[in-house]
Amino acid sequence: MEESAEKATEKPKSYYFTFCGTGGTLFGIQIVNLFLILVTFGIYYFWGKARVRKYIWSQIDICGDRLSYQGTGKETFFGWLKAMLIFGIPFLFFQNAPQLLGAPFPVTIICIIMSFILFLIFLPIAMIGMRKYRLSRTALRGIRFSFRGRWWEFARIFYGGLGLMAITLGFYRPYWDMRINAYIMQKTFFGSKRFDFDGKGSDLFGRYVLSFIPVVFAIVLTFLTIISHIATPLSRSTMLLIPLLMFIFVISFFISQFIYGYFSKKYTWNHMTFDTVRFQTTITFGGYFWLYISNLLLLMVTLGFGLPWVKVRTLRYVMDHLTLNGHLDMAAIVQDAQLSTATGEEIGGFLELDMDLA
Amino acid sequence: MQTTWPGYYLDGKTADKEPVRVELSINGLKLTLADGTAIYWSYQEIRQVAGFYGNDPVRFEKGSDIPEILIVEDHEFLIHLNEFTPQKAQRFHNPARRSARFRLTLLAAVAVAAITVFVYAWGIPFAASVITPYVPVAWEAGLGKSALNVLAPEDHRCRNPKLTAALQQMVLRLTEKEKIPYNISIYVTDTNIVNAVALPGGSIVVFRGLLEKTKSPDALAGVLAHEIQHITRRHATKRIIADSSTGLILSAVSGDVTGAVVYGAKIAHNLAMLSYSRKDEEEADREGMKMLLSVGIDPGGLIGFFESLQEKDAKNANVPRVLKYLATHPDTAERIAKMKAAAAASPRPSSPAFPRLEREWDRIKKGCKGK
Repeated sequence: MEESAEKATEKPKSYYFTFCGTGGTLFGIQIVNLFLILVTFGIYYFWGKARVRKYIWSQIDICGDRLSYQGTGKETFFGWLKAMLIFGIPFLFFQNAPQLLGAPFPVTIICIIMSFILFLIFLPIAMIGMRKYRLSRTALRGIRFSFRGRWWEFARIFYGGLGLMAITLGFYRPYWDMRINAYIMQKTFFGSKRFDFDGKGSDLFGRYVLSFIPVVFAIVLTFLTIISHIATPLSRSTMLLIPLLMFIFVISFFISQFIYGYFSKKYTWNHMTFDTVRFQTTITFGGYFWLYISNLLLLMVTLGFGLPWVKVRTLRYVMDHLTLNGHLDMAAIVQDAQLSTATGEEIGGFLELDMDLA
Repeated sequence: MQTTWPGYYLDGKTADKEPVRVELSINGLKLTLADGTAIYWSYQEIRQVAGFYGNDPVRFEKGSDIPEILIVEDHEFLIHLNEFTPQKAQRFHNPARRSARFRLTLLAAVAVAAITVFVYAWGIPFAASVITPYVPVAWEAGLGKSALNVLAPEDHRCRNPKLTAALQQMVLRLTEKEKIPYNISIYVTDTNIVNAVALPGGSIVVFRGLLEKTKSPDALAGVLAHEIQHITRRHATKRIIADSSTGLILSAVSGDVTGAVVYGAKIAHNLAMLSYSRKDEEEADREGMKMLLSVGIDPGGLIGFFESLQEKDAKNANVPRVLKYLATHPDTAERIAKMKAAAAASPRPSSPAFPRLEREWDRIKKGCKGK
């Protein structure tokens, strides 16, 4: 009693995150993995993936304690076999059998619809499965994380939001994102204690609309170009304007997505809590922009070989700007590990989904 | 040698981290907690899970599902452990041997480059030639059908009855002496390209540009003989298998096994984009000539056709020798020389193979324009 009263009067503390890994080490691990993947005809891929995760996780320092990844290659290998059996083979069959067997047009259409239905069913299963597996194999101070959501609950939020996105011409996006974040966080546990999220889509809506300024600019530019050329006959130089405008449009769309991505990431971190502590990020637009551009240049200059350094730089930037504020009683967190197989994880791999730490 | 080290003990039940004194002994580690409780871990039951890189803290675990954990922040601990009991510590990482690990990593990088070159240059073509004969003809036909719709869409196909009859006559003549397991169908498409493409399963797409460029039916029959060889020798199927395998290697290199499976399956859609290897082209030339001569068609028409193409090649006369070698089609002059040599070695027919078509050829070959 006395002790808890003492803790309540304690000054809030900041717990710092650091990423200690190096691009060189990660590159070395990936080279050795590559060699072993080639000599084992691809089988080592699953063990290699576990090795990379073990390294990355172990380099995340949270106030003097390192995260650890306890998944194994054997688990993901069997998960992959099961994923291929229940999803991969039927999906590939529906996608390719009509062409391979020269099936008539109606059969081809039915097969395409079937593959699309499979995709829709397995997408939320994979998204939830990946999270369940990875968190169940992640530990801090020996205490496992867990994700206790259900795929059908998530599917309701995901597809419901997708429908509303279509109806509102995309304006529902921040509300959708925040609903997903809230569901994910409220189902995430560290030992016996739960994470939480108090963000609202309405807070982010204004910034979401603002992020579309580059696209509006591109639309206005296109409109003005059309107006100024409407009276003149099509010349070669006018024709050249079309791809240029399309390029500007695509670039402006990417810029707007980047701007919203920044706002959304920052807002999400700052509205996450765990037990009595709150996450806080100090990332800045300039810093995030420079990270993005310099990573892009690094990848281009190194023809993709710089990817390990890109991963390390990103993690370092995000972790260096992240803190947990409040008072955390680690002794009160007890083990409450949850079982999870790697099938959802590997269906996610098949659908090329990923779940980044940063 | 230092035999006691400060560390932390975690029991796997709570997140509470207890300071501990770690003492090295011959058969294991003795952990003494702050309250004086002593725990003994034998080396056999411990596994190292961290402390392999840089100055990372050393982490040992004991127990299977939810393990107990020992953390020693100073990685020098491992060096001393290895010195203290070299035999028993073999199961743990020794930072003193990190330079050897660096050399092995470099060796792995060199090996990766060598394996990739070897597999790409020799392994894949060999595997493709071994697998190809086992692909069912029905599968090839299915693949060819999907590519046919891309290369010769229904609304672009020429359906001139005279032209169709002429092409059928040529196919019958070309295949009269050789029993082939494919039903050869020719599709002429209204596209101004001087080319013809053989698809797996028996379809040949002839573009209007090529048809109009031929001076005689014998010349077109020569082109068809070449394309039939691509089909019967399953060059396209071999290429699909080789490309799928290349996709597999690329995905392995980028670390994505699932991607490789998807790539392998998708390659059928890209059939229209495939090009044959130089070796396959030479084989189709050689065997196509044999086919022509065996059914009594004068290869002079085909040679003449290539001679007219040679004029176009003259523009590329400055292309370096290396690039010429890398091109998939053999050099036109080289092809003509080889064809002439083959023709000279066999008795040539004295009369045209398709006299009736020969007379009307100028009209027939224009039967595609505007469909």
